[in-house]
Amino acid sequence: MARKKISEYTAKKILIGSTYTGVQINNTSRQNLLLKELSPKAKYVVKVDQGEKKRFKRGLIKIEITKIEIAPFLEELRAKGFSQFLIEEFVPHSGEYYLSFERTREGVKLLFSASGGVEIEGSGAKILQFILRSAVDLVKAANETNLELDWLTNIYQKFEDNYFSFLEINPLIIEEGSYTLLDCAVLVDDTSQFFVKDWSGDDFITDRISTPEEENVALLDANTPASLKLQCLNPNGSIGLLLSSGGASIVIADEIHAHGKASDIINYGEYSGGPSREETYNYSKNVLSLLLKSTANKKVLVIAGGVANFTDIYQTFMGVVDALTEVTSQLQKQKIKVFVRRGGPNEAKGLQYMQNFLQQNNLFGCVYGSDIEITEVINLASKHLAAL
Amino acid sequence: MISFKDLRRKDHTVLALGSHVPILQAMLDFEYLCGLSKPTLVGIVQSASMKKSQKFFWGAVEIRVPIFASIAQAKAQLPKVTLFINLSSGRRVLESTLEFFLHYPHALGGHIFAEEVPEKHALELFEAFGKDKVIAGPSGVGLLLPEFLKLGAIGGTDINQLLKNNLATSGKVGIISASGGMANELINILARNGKRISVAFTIGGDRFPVNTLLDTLLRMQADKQTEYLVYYGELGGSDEYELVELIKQKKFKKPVYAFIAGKIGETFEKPTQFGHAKAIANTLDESASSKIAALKEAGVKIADSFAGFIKLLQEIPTSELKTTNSQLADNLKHRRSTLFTTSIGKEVNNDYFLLGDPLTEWIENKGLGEMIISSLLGRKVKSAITAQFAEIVLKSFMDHGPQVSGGVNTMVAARAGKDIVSSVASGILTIGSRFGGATNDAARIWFTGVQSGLTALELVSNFSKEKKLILGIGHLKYRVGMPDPRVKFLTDYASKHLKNTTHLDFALAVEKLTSSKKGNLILNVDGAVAAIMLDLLSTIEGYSVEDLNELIEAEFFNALFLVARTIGFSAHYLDQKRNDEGLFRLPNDLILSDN
Repeated sequence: MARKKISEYTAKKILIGSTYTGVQINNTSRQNLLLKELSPKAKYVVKVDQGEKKRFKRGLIKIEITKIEIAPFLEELRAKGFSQFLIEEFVPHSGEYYLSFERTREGVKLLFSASGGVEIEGSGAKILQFILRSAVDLVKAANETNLELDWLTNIYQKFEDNYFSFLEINPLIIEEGSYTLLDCAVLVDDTSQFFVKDWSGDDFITDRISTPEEENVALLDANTPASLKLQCLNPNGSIGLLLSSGGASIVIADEIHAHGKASDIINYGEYSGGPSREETYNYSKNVLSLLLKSTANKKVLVIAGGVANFTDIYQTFMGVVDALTEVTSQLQKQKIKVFVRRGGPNEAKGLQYMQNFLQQNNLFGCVYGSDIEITEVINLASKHLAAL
Repeated sequence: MISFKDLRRKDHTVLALGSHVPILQAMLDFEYLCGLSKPTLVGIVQSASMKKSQKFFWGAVEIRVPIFASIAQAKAQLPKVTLFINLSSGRRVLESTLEFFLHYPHALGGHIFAEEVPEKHALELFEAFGKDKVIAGPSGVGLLLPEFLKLGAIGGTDINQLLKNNLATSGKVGIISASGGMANELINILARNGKRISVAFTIGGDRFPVNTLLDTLLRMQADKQTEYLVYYGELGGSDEYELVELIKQKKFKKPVYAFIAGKIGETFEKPTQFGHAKAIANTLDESASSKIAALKEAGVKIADSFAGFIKLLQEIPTSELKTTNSQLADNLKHRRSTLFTTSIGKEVNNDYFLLGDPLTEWIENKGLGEMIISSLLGRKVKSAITAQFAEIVLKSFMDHGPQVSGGVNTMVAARAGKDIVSSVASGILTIGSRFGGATNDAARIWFTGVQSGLTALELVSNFSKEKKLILGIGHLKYRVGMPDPRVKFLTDYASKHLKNTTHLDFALAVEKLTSSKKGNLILNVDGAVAAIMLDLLSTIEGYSVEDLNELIEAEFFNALFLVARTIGFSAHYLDQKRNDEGLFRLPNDLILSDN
């Protein structure tokens, strides 16, 4: 549903092909075996391969190091919380260029600069821009950048064939007609997995450690036509969110921000696209798990969404209640009240069902339907938090 | 460029690519409430469907919408389609939409529902159709022109929502929304506050919608009925600056009320991906705050909070609601799904109508053969020849003596003291491919033989290679030189009354080959009936290849034998009762014990 980063290792394997000699390290057990293969005489580059920016500045890359220095450096990086690395042979070089491709509505936008190696934006470097729509455009770009047409065409073709959305090679080293992709970053379009063979969902990189709840939801999301998203923001926040609709979920989160409580949000996420009772149950279960784990002593749960077009409110609320039922006593113990606002198909029945459950179990904060504004529920929840 | 005005008509014909019953049903409900004379949905393309049609309610009654296996097949039946609604999965959107316009190049546009459409595919659709056609999506919930057209889930799928949102009355407010849920939220808010909508368009939350925001804004500006614009946008992308530019260049002159969600994104350390594909702000320009500032500067009415935004909307004048026909709404609320569909007959004022005519009319003026064959086919036969032939077949099949296996079973059951229904049933249950039930399989062989263009020789050698019997050929008793008199009568009848006997000719050519190998491999009565009936139906009765295929799949050809022989078995049952010889037991010497 979005543009996702893939590892530099996978990106280079696709772009360079079978001649690429980089070594990927992503678990400790195979590390020794892989390091053994390296030559004791050669010089290497070791870098964190998790989509991090400004790696050089942050000490996440070391160049010109020898085989024996690698393992200690990896340990150093692991201590900082990183887990995926790339080892390449060091290439001594002089000329550094910048090259990027991005998919835009007008065509594939190519940016080129003869002064690469740095953050190109705002550096004042001269940048050439081309919009690639046909072979003619490629010829023009090759002529003006002095890049070899065959090489450029090949990179462009890989970009297209692999449904890339963005590719940045910075720096690109060109010495005596030989091209080296020193550092490269790729965003792929994750909706196109079905159409490609050289990368898959396993190659996506996340730049932070996910909670088990987020991993569970990602797995659920991958196996349903509905949309299920969950991100933990502040694990010890005070506001748990069980939101629906991609748009309304942002509106509600904004409203919390407007109340000055953005940092109190435990999680952001949404369910939409007509999930089943069971899918909603599984999704809710993970949100509730984050909510209950938070160490904040004042907490609320907000169950809210817009007026759905086709998601059945009764069906999905049955799933939510199924999950609430499992943790009712814990919610009661932590004195968590539930604030609800939702509209859509089967609204009256769904809201009544939710209201009965919350009232019977002493969890009732409020239950509103489509007649009450979407933001009112946040007013009530924050008043309640303030009074606790 | 197709305009919103072009879409404001009540005679659209919509083809669904893929199905989502609640969404399609809601479209019909909307149209019914708006007083359209018939539903716009004319067909559903679903390659893997097990059904030939899908039932929908039109008001309180049910109708059937045909399901087609491909867009090409839909085109053959539905030459004119004005709009599509693409409900297929993201990966199939490109292929199906291209194919739709290949067959319907003059269609006005449609809606793409799927969220998971690859960027590359969306851009290909943009290049091909973005500038001309009106296409909502990928993603979002479609497009709505109150009083005229609801294409997608927009405005709700529940009858109460449709009524509450007053969608049968159109007004002056145009809505563009990046979110399906928020589009409906806005429709709901406006309806509650007495504002009426001219058009609501969900551009969707994808990075590359087929119709750009710019083009949609130009459509809104050109639409005379629209006087106000309500816009919901989010962080991510930079489309909103196009609105700013249009306003500055005075190319968009209507008052704009906007809400841009996503200020929350600015509180996070790193760019965060929100619910929609486009909803991630990687640069300052893409942040909600920057867009809000730019829109504000251009004179757009914009609020800091959603509650404030709703207050702003109060400025838009209210307009009157057309009184909705409460009877129409009542019809929608009180309806019940039927359990079966029939095309044979119905009861009208206590009179039974068979295939459209009162039963009394059949009794008085039509023959039994005509009545039976028409009922079995589910439509009245056109020609007296068909009716007459049916009667001949029924007579030929009615009885062939007590010796045949089904007859024996009936007699044994009768002598065991069983009742008529059980005894005749035991006979009928004996019918199968070896006895009496070969007509349908024979029909399949002649039909596929003719359709595939095989020669009789190729067919015979195919069957002998696979060591399979050709059903419709062979008899236990009759042989060359001692032909089955029934077959002779049937084939004579056919050559006398039919100009074109393709299937019979094929069957006879097969017989010539098989009977030259073995004398009893002659065309039997099952095979002859199958061949001649196929010829009659395909020529005189005008049945298409699909129609015939359907009859074969439903086992129509075996029904002829079943109907006729039920009479024969009943006769043998009654005969046994009259003669009552007591319980039958096979004498020992008629059974060979091999140990």
